[in-house]
Amino acid sequence: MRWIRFFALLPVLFCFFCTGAFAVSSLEDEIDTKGILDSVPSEAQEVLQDYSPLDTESDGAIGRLLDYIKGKAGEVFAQTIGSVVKILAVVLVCSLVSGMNLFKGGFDYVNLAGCLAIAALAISDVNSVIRMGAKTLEDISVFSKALLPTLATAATAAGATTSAGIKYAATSMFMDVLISAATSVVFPLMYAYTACVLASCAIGDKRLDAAVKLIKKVTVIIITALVSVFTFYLSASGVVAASTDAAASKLVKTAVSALPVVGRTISDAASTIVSGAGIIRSSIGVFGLVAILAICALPILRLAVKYLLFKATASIAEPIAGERVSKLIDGISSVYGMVVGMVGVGAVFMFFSIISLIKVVSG
Amino acid sequence: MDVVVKIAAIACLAALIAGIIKRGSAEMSLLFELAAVFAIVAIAVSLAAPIIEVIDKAKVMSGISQSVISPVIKCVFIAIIARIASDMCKGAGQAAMANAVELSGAIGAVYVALPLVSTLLDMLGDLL
Repeated sequence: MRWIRFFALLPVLFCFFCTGAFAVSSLEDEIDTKGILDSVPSEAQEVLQDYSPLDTESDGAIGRLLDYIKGKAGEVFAQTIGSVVKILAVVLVCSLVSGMNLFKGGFDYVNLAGCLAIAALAISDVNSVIRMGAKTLEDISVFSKALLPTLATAATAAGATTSAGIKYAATSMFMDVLISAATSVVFPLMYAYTACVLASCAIGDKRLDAAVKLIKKVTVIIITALVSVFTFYLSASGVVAASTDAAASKLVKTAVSALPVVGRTISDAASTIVSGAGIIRSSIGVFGLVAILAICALPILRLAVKYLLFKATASIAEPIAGERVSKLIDGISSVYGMVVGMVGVGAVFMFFSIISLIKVVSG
Repeated sequence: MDVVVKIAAIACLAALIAGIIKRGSAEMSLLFELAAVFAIVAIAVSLAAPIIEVIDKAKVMSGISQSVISPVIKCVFIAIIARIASDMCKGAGQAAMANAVELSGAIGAVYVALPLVSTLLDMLGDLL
């Protein structure tokens, strides 16, 4: 009698397995691989080459990324050294009179000319760096809009029915807030900071130092606040939603297991389907992480090299050309540091979001 | 080193002789001081030659535009000349003249730095 019941249910089981296999393959079809690849900027595509979101192996993309960074490092270093040498030439001229104490209590016009010359050399560079930062954030945002819906779909299929949507919505919202904050507040503040540093150093007016410090503090607070609020929101909503997912998953498993004869088999088969979807989710997630690294690698390398070399130049300039010229160069390096911070925040948003989406739902 | 020793010797000797001349004629003493200053500056210029060479080398190496570096160099020379002239006037007891020289130096320096300000304003205009 038991055998008869088993053979009668066999077609049902067969249909279930077929549906499961079809569910995984239709999920693969549903993933807009081309859309994701098209959203990656051309420089990052150079690194990714034929690496696709559905590949389970990173296909040497990390190695290519390291080679790309190594290859570009020399070029970036040479470009920045060119700007630094120009600034050092001005520093050298200013240093001719810095030790003579020519302007006892008077107007130090050599420092004025020196600061103006350094500003003329660096201002276009500062502008191009800020634009590069804005473009990188825009690239991350465009990529996130292509990757995250797909990743959220895969995560939902893998059991994160509630949390995937919440995390996707949170990341999208915070990416939009970040881009808006960057373009309408932070980048204009960086221009204002550069102008205040230049004015303070050229004229030698200590009263402007307070404005310089205030602008820098406000910029840092905005960047830190964005990261903190995003991390808190993602963690808090993630914990609640993950518990809901775990509870729902457990409930479904218990309900299916309660079915007579085939319950346990169906439950195991469902787990296999969920694991298949989980593999797809992890593949897309790892691709996303590598792509974000590829998008941010060159801008961060450029900014980091500029930041370090300008800091070093400021240190060299201080004993030979005086405090004002050195403070201006240091101020310019701070702008580079702030742009690195903004780009870093964009990358961190995406990293946190992807990692939280590919995290296994327990329960 | 030799040049600095020469300059120090000339300066001490000139100060001593100018002090002696000042007892008889203050005007002659001032003229003597002026001649000594010119002699010292002329010797110092020979020291400046290698420095100028280094600056030229840095200019060539960096490819820095002449319009950026030349205002700074001019400001340096204006500062040195204005300072020497101002001190000479102060030494002659002409404080007002000394201040006028310093003021002229500042105005002259701002004038030669005007192309830099203009370049900077053009850049800021492009940014806006």
